[in-house]
Amino acid sequence: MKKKIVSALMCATMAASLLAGCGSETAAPAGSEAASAGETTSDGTADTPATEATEAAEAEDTNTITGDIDASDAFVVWGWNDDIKKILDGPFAEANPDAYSRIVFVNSGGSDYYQTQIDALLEDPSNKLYPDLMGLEIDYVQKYVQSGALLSMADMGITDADVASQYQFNRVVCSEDGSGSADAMYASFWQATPGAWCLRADLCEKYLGTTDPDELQAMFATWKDVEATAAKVSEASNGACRLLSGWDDLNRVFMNNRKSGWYDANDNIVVDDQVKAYFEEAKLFYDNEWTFNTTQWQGDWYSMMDGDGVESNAALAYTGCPWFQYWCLSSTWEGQCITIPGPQSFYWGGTGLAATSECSDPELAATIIKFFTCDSESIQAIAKFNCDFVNSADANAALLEYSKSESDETAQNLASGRGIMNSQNYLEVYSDILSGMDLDTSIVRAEDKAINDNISQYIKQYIEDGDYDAAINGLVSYIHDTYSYLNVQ
Amino acid sequence: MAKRNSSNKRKTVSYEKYGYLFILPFFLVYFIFQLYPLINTFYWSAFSYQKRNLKETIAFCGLDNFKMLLGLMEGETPYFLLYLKNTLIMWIGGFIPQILLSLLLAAWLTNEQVKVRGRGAIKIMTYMPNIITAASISVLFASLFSQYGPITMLLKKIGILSADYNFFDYVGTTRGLISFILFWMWYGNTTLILIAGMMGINPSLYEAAEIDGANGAQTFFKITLPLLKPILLFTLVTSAVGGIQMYDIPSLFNVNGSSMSGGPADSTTTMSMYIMRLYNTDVGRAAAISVMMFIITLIISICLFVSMGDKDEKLAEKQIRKQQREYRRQQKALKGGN
Repeated sequence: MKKKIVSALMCATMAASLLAGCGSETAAPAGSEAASAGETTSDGTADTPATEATEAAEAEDTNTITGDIDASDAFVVWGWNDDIKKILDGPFAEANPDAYSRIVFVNSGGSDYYQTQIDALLEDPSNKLYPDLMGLEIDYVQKYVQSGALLSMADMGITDADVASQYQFNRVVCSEDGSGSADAMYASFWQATPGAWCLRADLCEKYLGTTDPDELQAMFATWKDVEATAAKVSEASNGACRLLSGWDDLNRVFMNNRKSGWYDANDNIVVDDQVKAYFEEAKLFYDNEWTFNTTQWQGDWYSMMDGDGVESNAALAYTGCPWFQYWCLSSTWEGQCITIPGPQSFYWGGTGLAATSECSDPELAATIIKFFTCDSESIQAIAKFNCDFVNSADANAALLEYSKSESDETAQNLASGRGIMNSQNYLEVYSDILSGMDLDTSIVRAEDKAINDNISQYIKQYIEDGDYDAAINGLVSYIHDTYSYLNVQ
Repeated sequence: MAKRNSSNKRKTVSYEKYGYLFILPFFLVYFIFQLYPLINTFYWSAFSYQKRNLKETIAFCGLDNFKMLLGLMEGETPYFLLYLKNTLIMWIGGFIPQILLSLLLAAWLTNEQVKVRGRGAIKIMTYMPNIITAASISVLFASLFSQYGPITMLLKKIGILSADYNFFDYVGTTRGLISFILFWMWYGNTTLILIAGMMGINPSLYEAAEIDGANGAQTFFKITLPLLKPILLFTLVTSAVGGIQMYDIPSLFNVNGSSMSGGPADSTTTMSMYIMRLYNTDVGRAAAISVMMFIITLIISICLFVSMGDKDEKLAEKQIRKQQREYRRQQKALKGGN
């Protein structure tokens, strides 16, 4: 009898552990889709740490192919999630049903190994999965732009006039020479991703005494103001509420403001003054306990979105951007998000399309790229369809007009950024931020992602021993070691 | 006539060739997927093979890759040595408790006098951590022990840790946790192997010892351990080979994004992580790391085999050789005398 009970128990435990395994594996991709659908996230997939693991474990052969890959006129489009597909299935299919019927969409199912798969295919144009058109993120767009494996916009008959309405910083990031002209552009973005500070209204009311965006911006106008505000929040809440979740939230705010890239034209590693400014600011935030010292994309970082700032820990602000607001902020923030530009402008990611040099039909590639990134009407259709903040000044002006004059659900969605904004108009806020943005994106390098990902480690070192030179030498040495074609001066 | 002949032939047909056919798949797979890449890795380790923006530059560079890795070239940091140290520390930290606990469990579970209840259940339970994928365990532990993770918060509430304590800020605790995961995942496996080894020891030896009045400790140290030596050696070598290649757990534990650099301060980066960091940009150097790992594994295995070899047997051999020499000398002396 005893034996039976024991074996029954063991079976139950086994089954439970097996199911537990299943649970995490099936739940994770759903979560990752949510996060990476917002794409551009430097490690876009990392909704929770668990996601990374299961994605790594699942890697390879998770391509989802939609359409007839064996058709003679198949036009293959690659993406790392369903973002592009949804737009193709929605507004694009409606406008171009014939072209749409030829499209075969390949979803690699995650951004981690997207590049590995694409790179192998680019060397093999005869492969039927060879991409004719592919999605690219700002993190690695330069790698492909410089590779010679893509067609320029001019090659496809897209002119400077066609891309005139795109924001300059996004055009520069896609260009071979940093000029932003159509013949130098090898990719074209449909999303614009201006950076902003997202503040939680209830915490602002409690600890800063106001929810008025202008008054709040005054409290974030310079770094001195930000520091004073951070001190105020920590003191008023007794440490339960702090300005940011982690000091690494400041990464992009400083890194995007560099005047020079990580290396110059002669491949010599350059450390910009903004890097030092970031180190200093992070140490100041750490020393004064103005953050909870979490790491971006980790569970702790997410959990700071939901605290009440009295009993449980909460962060008053996150540095974000349009997609971050509606994809990453938790439900606690619904109707609570106050968006302000902060002390200096920045941006966070962006997704674009590029046609490959052996593309089977450059004309169709041009049609799709124009639909996504050039034609104001179709861009507006995309924004109305999924609330993306689009890369077209004209379209955004028209959309803003629409969101103010109409009162249907689409207009409300556009105005409130899918219900996240407190009292501001989402399109207006970000359009304003963009108009005041003056960043040189020609400093973006193909290696930026790994370098920026690793910088926190050296900041921690600096925080601990206060030796800036040693920390920077460590970082430079890491860069040189990983990319041995970059030289230390 | 012909018929008979053929039937005779059939009788003498050797079935050995089928044996070769059966082992053929293994050798095919081995040559294509293991031996060829191995040789290839040696080949590429002598090249400066760099990838940048999908373009490749390849040039012969002799031993430069190895010199760079060992910090023998000017301006190069010997990261390889640092990562070798990290790997060895984390492996040893996991292996020592693992082998001790496994020995204890195996001794209890095989000893007829101890009479542990529910042996089968215990064996299964010790093995269970090994069923879950290493990646999941690593991520699970990372979230349990993160700054605001459940275990950390519990320890903070009880007052064992200070309010702003973070396991991941310290080299010792981060490495310790990784070692613990390795220990926890693998002690069941080792226990099972040791149990198998102990069951293979002739029970009459134990009976004899019992009659002679040996106590439990004495039987363990004088009978079990010496006879278990080959199994212990096997465990040690397999664990060392696995430990040198340590990758999945540290690469998902305290790493920032895609940097393949284990925090804090690069103290939990292993050699395999280093390979992964370089293979996209510097294939030659990544191959050189693999070659060095191969050499280290080889050295460790040889050292262990030599040091763990049967000393008594060697001593006896020595004795015999000595006697033989003595005998020859005497013979010579005798001949000389004549």
